[in-house]
Parts: sequence; structure tokens; C-alpha cells
Amino acid sequence: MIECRSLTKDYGNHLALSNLNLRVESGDAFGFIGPNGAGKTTTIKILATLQEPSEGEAFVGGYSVVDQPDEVRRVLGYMPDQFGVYDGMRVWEYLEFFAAAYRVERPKRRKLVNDVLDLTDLGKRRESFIETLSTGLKQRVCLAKTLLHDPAVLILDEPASGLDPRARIELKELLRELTRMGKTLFISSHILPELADFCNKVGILEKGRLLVSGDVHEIQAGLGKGRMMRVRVLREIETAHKLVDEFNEAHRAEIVDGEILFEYGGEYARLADLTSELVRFGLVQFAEEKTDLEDIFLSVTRGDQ
Amino acid sequence: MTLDLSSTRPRGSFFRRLGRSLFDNPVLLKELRMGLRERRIFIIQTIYLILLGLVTLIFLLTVADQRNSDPSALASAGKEFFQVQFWMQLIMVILITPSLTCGLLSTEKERHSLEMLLASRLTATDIVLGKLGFALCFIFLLLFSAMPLTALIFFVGGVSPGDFLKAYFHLSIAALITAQIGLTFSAREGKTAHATNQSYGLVVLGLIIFLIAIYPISMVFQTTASWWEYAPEAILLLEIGYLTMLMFLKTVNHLRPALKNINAICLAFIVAYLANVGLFSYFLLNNPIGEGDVAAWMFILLMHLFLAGFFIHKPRFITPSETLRYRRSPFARPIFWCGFFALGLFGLATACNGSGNGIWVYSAAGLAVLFIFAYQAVARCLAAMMGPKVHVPTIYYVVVSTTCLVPTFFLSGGNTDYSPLTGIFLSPIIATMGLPTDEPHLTGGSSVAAASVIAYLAMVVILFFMSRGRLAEKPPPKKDIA
Repeated sequence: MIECRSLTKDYGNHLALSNLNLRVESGDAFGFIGPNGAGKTTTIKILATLQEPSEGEAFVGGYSVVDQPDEVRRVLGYMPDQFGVYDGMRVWEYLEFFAAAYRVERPKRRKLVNDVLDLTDLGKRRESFIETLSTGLKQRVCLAKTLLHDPAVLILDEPASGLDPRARIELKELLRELTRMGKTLFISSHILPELADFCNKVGILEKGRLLVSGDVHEIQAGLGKGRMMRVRVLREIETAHKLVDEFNEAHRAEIVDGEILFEYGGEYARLADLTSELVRFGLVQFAEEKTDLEDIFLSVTRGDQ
Repeated sequence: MTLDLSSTRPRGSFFRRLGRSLFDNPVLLKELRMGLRERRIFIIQTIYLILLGLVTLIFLLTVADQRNSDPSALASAGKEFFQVQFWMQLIMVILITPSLTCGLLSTEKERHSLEMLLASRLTATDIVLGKLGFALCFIFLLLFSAMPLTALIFFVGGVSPGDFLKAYFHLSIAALITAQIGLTFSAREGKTAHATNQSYGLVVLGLIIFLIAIYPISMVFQTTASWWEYAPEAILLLEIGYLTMLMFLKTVNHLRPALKNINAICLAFIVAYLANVGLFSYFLLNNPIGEGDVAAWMFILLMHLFLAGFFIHKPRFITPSETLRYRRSPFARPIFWCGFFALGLFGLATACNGSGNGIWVYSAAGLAVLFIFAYQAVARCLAAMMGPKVHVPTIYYVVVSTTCLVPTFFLSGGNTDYSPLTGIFLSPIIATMGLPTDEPHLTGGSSVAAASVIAYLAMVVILFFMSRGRLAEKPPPKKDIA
């Protein structure tokens, strides 16, 4: 759905992107991670046909961003990091303006605006002037605008920046709903926990170079890191810890706050054997820790070194 | 929410797209909706009508005292008042219009909404036409709302409905060009304050140039046949029209830089320049040459030399992808410039081999064409020699100013030093005018033209060879920050 081939952007005195190769399949939720100045926004601007690459090519929905920009804009919904809303316009007027800007036929615009207002839970704010809305609601209006032409691909640049925790959770729910609808999401952020919940793939960018890209678990395996497992038993925790520690695929087992934490690098089938062994110690919890994107990020990037 | 993508409209032919940009433009609708909700618009309209109303009231009170006087005196007073009213409206329109447009695009940049517009299916042309349309709609609203006041003149007489409509047409043209000036700077600058300063600067400068230009152009056509009665006006409007078009293209290119826009700018500029040169040459060949002709000629030449620095200083600005896409474009290849150069030489060759009154015109026309080429070539070579940090337009303007001003300085006060060191052969003004024929080393205009050509050719060739080494150098490898 999104493909970058040797994408390079050179601003003359600054190489913003260097030979970026990236592939995002249809239906993926791709988290594009990187520190400030890594080249995330440059990549996104190229994909959104706002900038031309110095070298290489990029495709969105099979269309070249350089040679077929209008086709790309037809299948792409773009939400910039700093979005502008117009004062003196009502929410429905704003959305209708963008529906017209995306060349949606006039008779269909009104219904479409109502549909996206319902989807983004903004129906009650339909007649409100945009300047009177909170930052979270403005963000939603902007997302609603992005959905107007029913794009197959959504590119969201730092969608949660500046939002309070509640608005962030609501936005996360909305994005989850969009992935359920089959949209391909390409989300840039440097707030990792917000991506960890619903992105099935990530790409880590630093100083214009893509350091790593792919499935989160595959990246972990590639980095020599196993899945973190958490076990809680009712009795003989020391013996259970010894059992885990002696298990071949388990590493770095330790007892933390009455629970056994260990890194597991083997198959799920072998994990079942370990579980059955632990049952005799009164096993009440055997869970896989959520992927720690921050950990991966810190392992992969070098910071200012 | 489901929407079939096929329901979004196809782009269609050029005329269909143009029609859509003009009459089904979402940007225009949005601007009208937002603009007419602003208090500022009604304040401007109120002040405009109050000022005009006061002047009209004073006039009517004055006329009321003369109601029993001679009707022809009344008509004369009416005509004078109509002119006062026209100039008053013209100045107000010129001052109000840039304030409407100089913030239209820069505020979009300031509030980060321009990106969203450019990422939609709106073209840069749609955006610019929408913004321009809003400004013109408001100005037309002002002009129409003032019509009942201005139409009072018909009770007094002295002005025909034709004059009345013509005045409104002129006001509309003034609104169009000033709106476009504001929009051009708004697209160019990131901040509204900068765009406002530059727009008003150019509007005031343009007004001064207009007042200077109106005299020589009128002088040129004063001896013509009756069907040329409107020629000065028509030419002035054509000039304004093509300047507006160039600025429109420049604005579009600021929003979405593309070689096709730059090609269109260059082509429009060169066609208009050649048309100007051709029109004046044709006219001068068929009429006795007077003092006003030379002034008009020099004015046209100088204006185009300065405009060339603004409009065609980037004829080869291209991104790598555009290089592939537009490699057959005339501006991406030197053959176009060679053809342009040959045209100038042809005019000069005709002048050097001919005789009679037409020589001056031929040599001036040839040089006029050559000057654009020569200045562009010289500025490029000098910029290449000075390195990448020097801007070509800066060099261009330095060269143009130097060659125009230095020889004038040498020849001031009756100085007759015509040696090449004074640079007189490089001066567009002197070369197209011709030196006095009593100069012992020269034998009239054709010799001056020939000397100028040789001087320019030599300069271009020397600079080309001096800068060639620099041009051939490969750029240093970019430091990979990663």
C-alpha cells in the first residue's frame, strides 16, 4: 500500500532522508518512530505529495507520488502535525469545504459530512464554531476531515501531540476503529506507548536512515531479545523460579514483587510444557508482557553519540 | 461510512477545469463565507461610502448654487467632479485591495492550513483563483454599492454612460492588478507583515511608474489615425493584463513549484516582450520618429530588463524528477536561448545592412532582444564564478543598474568621452538611442548597435570561458549527517 524505494531528500546543506526503503501492506498499522529531526515529517510530506524526493521513488496505493500526485491524493488522507483550522467557520462548514476540496460531488457532501461526524462522535458539535472547540475536539475535526473522501491510506503525523490523557485515549480508540475498518495507517510519533497498543509494525528512523522496520516481535528477535513473560504462583516461588531458570529457552529469570519475570526466546509449543510444569506450584497467572517499544527504540537508536 | 471513489469527479479537459476553478471553487466559497462574517469588511465599506458620500454632498451643494447658470458650465463642472470622484475611488481601491489579499496565503501558512489544502485535490491554480476571486468580489461589492452615489452625476450632465462604464472598467482593472500584487507577495512571504510591506511598496512604485509611463505612451500615439484613438489605453491595459498573468503564474509557482509553471512564466514574458518590441518597431517604422517615441522605447526596454530579473531568473529550475519529465521543454535546453539570441542578431544584421529611417528601429529592436539574453548570460556566468551562495537575480540587477547608470554618469554635463572604457556600448539606454552622429569614430545608430553587439558578445564569451571551469566542477559530496 505504501512503498518507498531508495528515498532520499537532500536540502542542500542537510541530508534529511538517506536511501529509505520501506513497505507497508494493506491493512497494516505502521508506527513510524524516531527522535525529533529524524526525517519522519519529511518522509510523510513526500508521501503526501507536498515535497518531491531528491532521489528514489515512493508509491501510495500503487501510484507514484511524483508522477501521479492527483491519484495519490485521491487515496490518501493526510493529517499534519500542526493542523490549521479556520476561525469563523462551523464544524459542518469546515468539513463540507474539505469535501468539496476532495472533489466529492455536491449532492453527496451533506450525507458524507454527517457520516464522518457520527464516526468521530462530533454530531453534537456540528453547529459549533471551530475556534470554540478544545484541542482534542479540534484534533477530531481534523481527523474527520481526513476521512471525508474515504481514503484507503491514512497518514497521521504526531496525531496525539498536545492532547490531554482523556483525548489521547479517545483518539486511540478512534484509530483502533479505523484499523478494524481495514484502513492502512501510517502514524508518526515519538510518544511510543501510544503506538505500542495498536501498531502491528514499526519502523525506527534516526538521522535520515531507517534503522529497523517490520513486525515488532521480529524486530525483538532480530535484536536478540525474547518476549518478556510474567508468572505468578501461589506457593514455593523459589522452586518455581529454579525450574524456570533451568528451562532451556528461558533467560534472565528473576523474582520481582512476588512474580517471576523471564525472557523467553523459544516456540509457543515449548511454552506450553513449561506452563504444565508450573501448575503444581499453584499457577494463577502466566502472561506475556506487552512489547516495550521504548526498549527496542533505545536498543536500536544511538542518540547523539 | 462508505464512499465509492468513483464518485469523486474526474479532472476533465483544460476548459472544464478552468470553469470549475472559476465557478465551483471551494476556496472562493470558503473565503466569502469567512470574509463576509468579519467586521473589518463592513467597516471598510462604511468608510468608503462615507468618504465618497461626503465629496458628493459637497459637490451637490456647490452645484445647487449654480442651478440657474449656463448648462454647459454645469456639464463642465459635472465632468470635473466625475474625474475627482474617479481618482478618489481609484486611490481608495488601490489602497484597500492589497490589504485584502496580502494576508490570504500567508495566514494559511501561519496557521499551517496551506499544507492541508495542497494535500487535497485542489490545484494551486484553484487556490489562487479562489483567493483572487474573493478579493475581487469584495471590491466589486464596494464599487457597486458606490454606484448610486457616482450615478448622481447624470443629473448634472457632462458624462456619458460610456464614460461612466469605462471608469468602472478602469477601476476593476486597478483592483485586479493590485489584488494580484498582494497575493503574489502573500504566497512568497511566510509572514503577513512582510507581505503587506512589500505589496504596498510595489503598489506605490507601480503607481509612480504608471504616472510616468502614461505620458510617453500617449505621445507616441498622438499622431496616429483616428482608429488608434484608444491605442495608448489598449496598450496600457494589455501591459497590465500580461503583468497580472505573470504574477498569477508566479503565485501558483510559489505554492507548488514546477517547471511547467516556470516555462509558462518565461514563455509569457518573452512573447510579451517580443510583442512589445515588435509593436513599437512596426509603429515607429510607419510614423515619423519623435521625442516621445524614444522615451517610450527606453521605458519599455528598461521596464522589461528589470522585470526579467524578477520573472525569468530561474529558467532552469528543476528537480531531478522534473528533469526527466520536462527534458524536451524549450527552457531546459539551450536551443531555445540560441533561437532567441539569433532573433536579436537578425534585427541587428538588418539594421547594419540597410539604410534610411528604419535603421534606428531595426537596431534598437535587435538590441532589445539581445539585451535580455546578454544580461541573463552575463549574470549566470558571474554567479557561477562567485559560487553557490550568490543569487543570480542579485547579480542580474547589479549588472543592469551598473550598465544603465555608469555611462549616464560619464556623459552627464556635456562630456563627450565615448571610449569603450566608459561602458557606453553596454548601456541599454544609449545603445538603443544611438550616439550623436558628429562623433568622429562612429557613423550613426547602426555603428553603435554593431559596437554594442561586439561588446556584449565579447563579454558573454569571456565570462563563459572564465566560469566554465567552475560550472564543470562536480559539486562537493554531501556530508552524510548519519
